[in-house]
Amino acid sequence: MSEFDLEDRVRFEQLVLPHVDAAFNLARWLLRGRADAEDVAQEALLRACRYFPGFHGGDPRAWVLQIVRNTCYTWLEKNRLTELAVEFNEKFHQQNHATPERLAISGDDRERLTRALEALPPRFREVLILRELEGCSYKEIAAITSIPIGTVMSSLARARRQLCFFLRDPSRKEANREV
Amino acid sequence: MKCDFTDSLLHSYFDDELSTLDALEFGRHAEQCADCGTTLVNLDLLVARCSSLNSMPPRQHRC
Repeated sequence: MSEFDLEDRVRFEQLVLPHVDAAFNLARWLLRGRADAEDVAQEALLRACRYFPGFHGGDPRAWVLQIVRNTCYTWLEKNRLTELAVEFNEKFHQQNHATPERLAISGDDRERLTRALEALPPRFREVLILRELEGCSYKEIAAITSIPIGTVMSSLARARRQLCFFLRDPSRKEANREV
Repeated sequence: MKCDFTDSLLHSYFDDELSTLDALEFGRHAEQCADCGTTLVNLDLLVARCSSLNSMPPRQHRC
């Protein structure tokens, strides 16, 4: 690892600091909590700072978000392993997190949406957050998550479908059409 | 009945990730396919709802 000189500092401020909000946003959605997200995002940015002299080109936002994402998963593995280990299981998530009934009584649409997003497994949640809230392209999401573009496409489609499932109005049997 | 294109192309079309040629072709299909047309509308509604979360932090995690 090379030394962080004045030139690196200027480049860091120009290339990385504009993405601090996006870094925190991704962390808070992946970890589902502000306090944990602040700690992990800070740790990720320190890591970015440490390794920045080795960053020579490419998309700085994707680079930063990749570090944040990896730091979040490391944190989840250490602190909430079961959350990571559970692949999406309709029955499990319906029973334990966001049943249509719970969503219906929660009232506020944003609250319902938040709960529905939180009910998604982290792998689905991250592609949705990166796409819908950060406006990342499929190529950027693939770079950040280190998964093939085809998997990004299928994950996004499945994530949206599950989100609709969670948001479905329980009083209507025919429910929303899948997306 | 679900259209075969729904999963394979619809999301990429919606996200403007198809090539120009593929987008034109799928657009023509969507104009004729009630299934894809409806799904595109629902997808648009869903994404609009998601955009309302841009300034909103998630709830605190409860262990």
